[in-house]
Amino acid sequence: MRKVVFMIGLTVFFSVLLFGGDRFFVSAGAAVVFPADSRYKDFYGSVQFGPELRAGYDFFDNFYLWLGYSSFSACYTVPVLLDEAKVNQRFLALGAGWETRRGRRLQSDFFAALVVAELEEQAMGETFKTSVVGFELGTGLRYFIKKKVFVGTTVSYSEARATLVETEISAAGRRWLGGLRLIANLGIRF
Amino acid sequence: MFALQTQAGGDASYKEGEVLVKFKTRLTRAEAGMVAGDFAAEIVKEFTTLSEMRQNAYFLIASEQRTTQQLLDGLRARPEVEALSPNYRRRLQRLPNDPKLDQLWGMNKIAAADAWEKNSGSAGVVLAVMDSGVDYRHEDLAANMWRNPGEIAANGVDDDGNGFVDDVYGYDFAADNNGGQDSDPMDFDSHGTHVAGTIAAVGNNGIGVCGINWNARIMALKVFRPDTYIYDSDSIDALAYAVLMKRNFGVNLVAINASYGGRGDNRMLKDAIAEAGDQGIAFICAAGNDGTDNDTIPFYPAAYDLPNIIAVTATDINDQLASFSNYGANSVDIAAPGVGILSTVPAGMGLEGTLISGTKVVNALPLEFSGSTPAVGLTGQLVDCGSGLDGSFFPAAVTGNIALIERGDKTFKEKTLNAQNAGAVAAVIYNNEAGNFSGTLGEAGNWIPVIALAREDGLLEKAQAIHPVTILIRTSTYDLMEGTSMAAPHVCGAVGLLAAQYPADGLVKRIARIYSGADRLDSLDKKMKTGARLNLVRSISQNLVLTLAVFRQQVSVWVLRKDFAQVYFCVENDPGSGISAEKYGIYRNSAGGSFRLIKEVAANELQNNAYTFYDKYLDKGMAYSYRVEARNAQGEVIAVSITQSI
Repeated sequence: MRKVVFMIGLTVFFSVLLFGGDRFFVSAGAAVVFPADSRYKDFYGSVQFGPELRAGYDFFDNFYLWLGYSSFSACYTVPVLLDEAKVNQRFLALGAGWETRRGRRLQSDFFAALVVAELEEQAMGETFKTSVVGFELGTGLRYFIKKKVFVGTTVSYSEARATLVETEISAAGRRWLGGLRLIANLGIRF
Repeated sequence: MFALQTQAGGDASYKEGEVLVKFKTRLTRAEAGMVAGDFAAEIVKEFTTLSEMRQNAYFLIASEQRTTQQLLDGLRARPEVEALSPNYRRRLQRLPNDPKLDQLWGMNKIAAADAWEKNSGSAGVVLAVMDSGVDYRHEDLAANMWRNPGEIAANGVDDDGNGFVDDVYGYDFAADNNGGQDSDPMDFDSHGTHVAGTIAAVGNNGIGVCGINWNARIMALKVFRPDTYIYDSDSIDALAYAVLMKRNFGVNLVAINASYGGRGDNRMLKDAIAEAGDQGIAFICAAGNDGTDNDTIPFYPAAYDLPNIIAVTATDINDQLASFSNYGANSVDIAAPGVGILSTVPAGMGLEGTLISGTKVVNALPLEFSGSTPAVGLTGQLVDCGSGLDGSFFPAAVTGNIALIERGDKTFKEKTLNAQNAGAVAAVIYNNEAGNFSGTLGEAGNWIPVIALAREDGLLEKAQAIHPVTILIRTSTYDLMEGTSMAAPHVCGAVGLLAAQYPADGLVKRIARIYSGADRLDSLDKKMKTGARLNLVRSISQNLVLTLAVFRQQVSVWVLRKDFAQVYFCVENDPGSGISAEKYGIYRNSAGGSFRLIKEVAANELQNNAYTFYDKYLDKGMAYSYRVEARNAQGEVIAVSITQSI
């Protein structure tokens, strides 16, 4: 079953690639993240790195819809106990953007999205997981080094607020997921 | 709803219409009275010392119109109230006489004589007896009674300004059945005097018995009301007095013996005991005489999880747990001799017996409720009546003479009745196993004199066929008792002796010496925390002392948080002692489970004779207890720390 789904997906992808008419783009990149939550930074640091994947479809004039995935993770050694704590934040974004007129080598765009953010922290024999909805706003530049291949840089800010209740393993309070991201990426349009 | 506890295995009786109340803040008496008034109750007393020390307000309130349950239900809903309890009443933990032939076998068992080579006590050490009072005029106690130096006897003045008039030897917190108090802690029972004698009957004075401490000072805190109960309100008062005298008047009170208990759990009594602990006072409790597991059916105050409490159960001369003894792998600390213990009693309250056969004089033990003999004794022919199971066992010759009966198959009462019906004027019951025994005729009555004899002596008498003997039973100022009540004062005495030997020790270390020196016995394994019986000489000579401290801490990361325990122990080992530990085991229990090894530490892992272990991932809200054991190269336990709970 999985093979069938995979083959169908592959067929659709290449069909779009061949016959899409430059209305699609995909990009992959790396992000430098400056997390939003000050308490997070106390434990895991104020600068993190993570991957960034995007796909978009120009649905009208210069407007496009896009789907993105990004994440970042970090570790922290718990003092005294010398345990390793791990945290992972994952973001699935679905939004829309506007880009300057196509055909130029240098383009810019502005975008916004709804974000489903997932937080997972593992420490001291426990795992905490939660998902919350937030938003992402950003802008970027793309430079087409070939007709369909571009490199780009993006700056975005994502935020999702998790309100935690008191449990056996966690204290009540708010946690801010996401933060400011600087992204360098490589993409193709097709 | 607050429900009164009624648990299997024992009653939790209390004074109807009375409730002990702990308020969240220091309410005045008037404010508390208003709260009480809402429930048709009034303030009986404020426990002012406890209130001051704990920064709460503790009151005893009573109502003639409401039941205790109604008061509890009503007060429970009041926001000012932090804790409530019925005014539980408790029982002394003794049993009818059941003496052993070896009159001070307990002292031998705990190797007291060897300990006395090092130290036999100090007049600077004060030990309190919270009990039925103490016969402070007893020939073997008078010299060791604590005397309040600031108080002039019987002048009706509170000379030292401690709030108690004429508290010379201590105080009577239970003078009547209504909570009245007076200055005279004289023992009109015998229990407290017996306990006091084990702790510190004067030694080396050529009379009577000696206590664990030949020389110490006994403070009498009488909490035994005429109705034969011990009420928590009186205990709280007595504890506050003890703490007051130590804290404000410099009395070197190191331990309190509490040979009583019951089933009701009372937070305020626990607070008062904890306060004593904060002042460095050990609180030695009898584990109880129901033969039940205190882990399952808690027996208070022994079952309170406080570091200053030592819960003591009783063993017999064969180092077996006494049949009546309560036990508890997690709630009882240590064992001590508690069967057939000879000690002091007020004049006329003890009996002693003698059998004179030819030129031989044999110590015998009168049965409880036995008839007495003339001062010169009762002489007659000793006639063998077998086991005396019925009339057919008694030959005609027993009429007007003395029946010799073997123990077994029927009660002492039945055998004595058979002897009486056969016309015997006295009876000698000899044991059906080695050694002597104690026994009772069950109830007072018009009984002939009856004495118990060791089997060896009984068989010698039997071998002589009919022959003349003289029985002598007379009142005494010494008697045998048994119960965990009699075991606890052995340990209380030990605390006193250690305080004399090591005055600089803190409470934790003092208790650690007792646990470390105790004899581990297979018969006690898993029956109590240490699985051991007190050994005085090993405790006082203990060269390897484990001191344990446990701190509960919390660690947090971004979201997650978790408790952990910092378990710290240090080892003090006197140079040249010849004792060395190969490894140390850290044990933990939780939720009433068994202690299990969580960390083994080799001796060479210690730094500066100390080791810190972090016990990770504790569950929030769960209580944990820890202890450390040291083992030698042969794997034998050579030292045990006290148990610390978090």
